[in-house]
This record gives sequence, structure tokens and C-alpha cells, in this order.
Amino acid sequence: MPYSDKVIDHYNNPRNIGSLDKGDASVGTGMVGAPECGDVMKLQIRVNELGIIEEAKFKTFGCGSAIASSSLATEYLKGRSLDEALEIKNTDIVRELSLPPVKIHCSVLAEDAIRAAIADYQSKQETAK
Amino acid sequence: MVVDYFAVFSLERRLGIDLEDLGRRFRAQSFVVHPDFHARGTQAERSEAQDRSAELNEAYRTLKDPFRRTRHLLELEGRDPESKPSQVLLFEVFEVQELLEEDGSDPLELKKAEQEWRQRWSALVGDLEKAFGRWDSGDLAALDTFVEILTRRRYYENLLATLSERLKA
Repeated sequence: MPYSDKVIDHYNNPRNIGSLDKGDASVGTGMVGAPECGDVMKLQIRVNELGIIEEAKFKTFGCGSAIASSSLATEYLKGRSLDEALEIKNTDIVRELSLPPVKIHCSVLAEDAIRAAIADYQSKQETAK
Repeated sequence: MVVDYFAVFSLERRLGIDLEDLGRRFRAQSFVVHPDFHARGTQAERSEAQDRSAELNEAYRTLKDPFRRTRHLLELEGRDPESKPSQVLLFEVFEVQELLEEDGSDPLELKKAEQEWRQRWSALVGDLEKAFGRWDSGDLAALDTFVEILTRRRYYENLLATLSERLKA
């Protein structure tokens, strides 16, 4: 199945690949997976005192569309507040990457990863209080 | 609508299948629907025979394989064949994938990982067969076990495939 140019671009030049310190209180980690393909996607955010996402990193073991979806998600996240980050929808990713119907679940995975990372950050902040 | 592949072979929805019996049923029916026997029929008859032959082949392929058979049962029972993988599983898989990603990974460590996941794979297959018995004796909760096993399946397979590829290299 042919990938769109944008998927190929993100696959060949992934943005923000890497890891942040999972133990750091200002870092939220989302680890999600698509069991039908055996994909794992880790997405992390670092949030500053103003509640703005300063840094976002990802690492995905999966198909090109899953890698591109998470790479794009980290680009979307940087500079946003948590509320703004929650507004990111998988359909934004589908549109931007021109994902075909069979790859829509990759974008859903990226949205799940964003939500999981934010939830993890928030629960860490709660415990710290 | 999902075609009931058990019904295609006049079988009940049981998972403990005698493969020899299944093979006999398949061959008997293939004979009847084989397109060659309908070569003189009308266009509609030929196309019907072709459809039935394709369906029969798919039914056989599905029921022959324990994992595909289980997946099919879950579909028939209106269940999602997979659920959200647990965090424990995802972190474990992630860790091995990271090990595999490094160029200079210790071959001994890779070999150890391969042995471990091969054992886990055998255990998974064993668990599946045990759950077959539960389902066949009427335990509906076996369906949850099937979903749990199918959720793990691709992760195990992908890891083992990548591991053996790396060990060959």
C-alpha cells in the first residue's frame, strides 16, 4: 500500500524522537499499543510551570503510519497548554497525513497516547500536592 | 454479517477440533462446490460455485489455525477479538524492542530474550488450548481469556520474528 509523501517524510525524518525521564514530575508518559498489529507507541511531554508543553518526545515500534502519526503528534503538542493539547483529534492527523481507512487506527493510537501522557502528568501532579 | 465457518462444516461452535475430521469434511465439500463441476452451468451457477468454493477455502483456513479459529468464534459471539494491552505488557515489549534497536546489543542478551519469549509463546499456546476445554464445556468466561490471549499474540509474534532476524544477522 503506498504511503503518502507526508507519511514518508515523517518516517524518514521523525521529529522529536527519543525519551524523557519517566521519573521526572514534570514529565507525563503515555504508553499505548494496537494489539491487532502488535505496535507500541510511547509519547512523553514535559510541562513547564505555566502549564505549557515545552517538549514532546516519542518512540514507536510499528508501521510507517504509526511512526508518522506519533511524530506529527509531538509537533502538534509543543507550545500548547494541556487543554489545548486535549483538543487534538485523530482526524487532524488523518487529514494532515492523508491516511487511508485501514491506517486510521494509527492516528487513534496517537490520540490515545496524547491523552495517556496528559493523564499521567496530571496524576503525578495530584500525588505531589 | 459474519458467515459461521463452523456451520459451513456442520460443526457446533466448539474449539477443540479434530483436524483430520475437519480435513475430511473440507475435501468432501470441496468436491461438491468445485467450479469444474459447474463448468456447464449458467453464468450465475458458475459464479455461485466460485463464491462457495472461495468461502469454503477461507472457512477451512480459519478453522485449521487455533488462533484464527478463536478469533472467528469471538466475532461470531459479538466480541472484540482484542482489548487494550496492559501497561505491563507494553513496557515489557518496549524494553525488548529497544534492546533490538541498538546496533551493539550483546548477542548473549538477545539469545536470552529469544529463549524467554519463545517460552512465553509456548505458554500462550498452552493457555489457549486449556481455554478451549473450558469453552467447550460451557464456560462463557473462557471468552475473556481468549481476548486476553489474542491481545498478546501479535506482540509475541512480532518480537520473536524481530529477535530471530537479529540473531541470524
